[in-house]
Amino acid sequence: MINNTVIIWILIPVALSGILALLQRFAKLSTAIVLVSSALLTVLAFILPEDLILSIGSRQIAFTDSLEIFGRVLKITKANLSLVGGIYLCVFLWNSLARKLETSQWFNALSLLIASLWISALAVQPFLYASVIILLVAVVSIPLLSPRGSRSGAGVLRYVTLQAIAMPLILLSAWMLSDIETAPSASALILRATVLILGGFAIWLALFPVHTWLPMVGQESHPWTLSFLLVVMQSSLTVFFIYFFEEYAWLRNLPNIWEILRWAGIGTIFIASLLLSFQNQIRRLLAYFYLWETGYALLAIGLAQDGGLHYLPLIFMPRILGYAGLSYIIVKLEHLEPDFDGNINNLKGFFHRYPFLSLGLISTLLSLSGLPILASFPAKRHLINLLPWSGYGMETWLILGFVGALIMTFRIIYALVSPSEEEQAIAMLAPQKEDIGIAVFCTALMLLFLISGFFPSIFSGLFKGILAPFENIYLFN
Amino acid sequence: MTKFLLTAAVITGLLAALANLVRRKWLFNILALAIQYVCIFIVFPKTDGFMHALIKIIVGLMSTLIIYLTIQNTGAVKREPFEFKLSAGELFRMLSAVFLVTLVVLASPWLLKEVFPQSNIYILILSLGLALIGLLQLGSKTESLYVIIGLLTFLSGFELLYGSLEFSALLEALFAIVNLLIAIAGAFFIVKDLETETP
Repeated sequence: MINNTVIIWILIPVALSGILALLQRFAKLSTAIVLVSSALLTVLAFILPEDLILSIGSRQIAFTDSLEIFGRVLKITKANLSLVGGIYLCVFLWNSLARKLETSQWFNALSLLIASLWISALAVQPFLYASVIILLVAVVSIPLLSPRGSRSGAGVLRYVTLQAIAMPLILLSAWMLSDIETAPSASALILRATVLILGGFAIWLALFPVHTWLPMVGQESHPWTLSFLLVVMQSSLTVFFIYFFEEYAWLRNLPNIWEILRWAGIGTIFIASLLLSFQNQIRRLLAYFYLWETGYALLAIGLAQDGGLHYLPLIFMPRILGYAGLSYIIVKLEHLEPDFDGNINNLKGFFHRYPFLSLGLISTLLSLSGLPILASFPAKRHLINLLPWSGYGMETWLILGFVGALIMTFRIIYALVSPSEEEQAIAMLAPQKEDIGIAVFCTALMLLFLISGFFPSIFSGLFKGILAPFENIYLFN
Repeated sequence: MTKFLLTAAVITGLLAALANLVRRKWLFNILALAIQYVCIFIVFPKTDGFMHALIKIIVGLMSTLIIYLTIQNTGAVKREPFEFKLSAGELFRMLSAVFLVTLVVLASPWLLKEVFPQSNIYILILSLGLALIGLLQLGSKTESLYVIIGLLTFLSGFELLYGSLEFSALLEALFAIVNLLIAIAGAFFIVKDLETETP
């Protein structure tokens, strides 16, 4: 009974999260349970062979890949396990530092629950029912984004509201899709279903102008918690979006759909970059880099028929590193400098006082911006090379997109290396308060950025299988 | 008789949602929310028996009860005397909602014919009316209690519409969980705001 992929990667984590909720006050025990379980789930997801038969010595354990619940099927095949492994890897990585970074005491339990909900969203059939599960994820995230002891922020409420608005759009499209199979290609049904699907995804992916909850939540919520939710959400939604193109021939054969997606990607990159360049609050950077990365994910999907999807797995690890690095550094800076109000202009003198954190911040921003030799560069370079000739149109907006992100990065570098007004003397410029944990984390982060930049295939190999369920999307009309 | 009952339920349901949109008196709002769920129960399609409609009303009333008990036990929202006079903001919200409901009533026959032929006119008017009033509430209020009531109104409208189009036990279970969790989230926000206000 237990050797079922759905039970292992969805039901057991849900049950464990219930137990962890009861153990939330026992920080060490709760963290140990979540770390061991997520590590086991990650390793098992990556090592399980194609035929779902695991050999341990002379013993063979065969796994079944589907389970019926309330008359509907949940299915996790080998093709899905790369993403499943990736999601539980994030649970492991984020939980390993969660208690040290003083996140909500519910983080252990809810991170495991959220991971299993995202996996069930990708496993449920018909897959459009996932829209309700995605709303469920948003509601479950509330105690993490707005923990007790802080006033309820408008950002969290707006986030849940927008997810609730997106859900009906996708569900109604599901109902309409059942009629499309028999309808002629120019049917009004296709137009309606397309508008509903694209509208629903625009809200889910927080594209402009429905992105407003992102900076608000970025400002209100704990950066480490938010980065976990964003990295899991972005990876899952990207794959979920591809499912639509894989499943529905009428959608991928719509005239200009790929070009629309490419322009949507470039538009999102440009807007994220524009918003980044004018941003003064360090906490909001995470929100705008999320938007920036969404733009690249859309660009990769828009370039699917030219091979763009092959570079999607390349972005996963740099994104995980970038979000983790940025949020860790923001939390640590806020802990070490209680008077720091989050304004970028008040980072003056920090490079001299916190060299590891400052170097980590600079390398994270440069990597997320896609500068050469750092982690995000290979994927972004390949994607840009795939862009079809558009009479300088796309290229111009993309360059402007880079300029905005670089302006932000260099503003931060300038602020970091400028001495503060009270700290002009060289003698005062001694490193302070950075413990060994910060030094190890920032050094490892910088090394990983460099390794990912020089040898992108090392980490992309882990997530290569994410594209395994997709075959039809590569087919031309 | 059935037609009269359905018409009365549609009108009462929309008036309850309108009352929630316009007034900010928590006890009155909770009562209106409960009435809304009773009206949904009456209008909900019963072709497969009463069970599905019963689930809706049980979940709806439980959600209402969660919010009521939280406010009652914490005293989070102060009881204020009821006034019949409407403020400018309340009048604006009422007129906007009346305008939207009029649009729904006018568009429903066409929507029934062209888009949702499986549904019926009562369901369509109540569901779209609730969803739009819920959206208006979400856009015009920022206090967590009223946002949560807006969310529940919006979702109840959509669930009524979807219930007339397709039935899935899994989907019903998910809707029930979502509704209850939203009500619990509402309770969480009420308690949290009270904690941060108290020195």
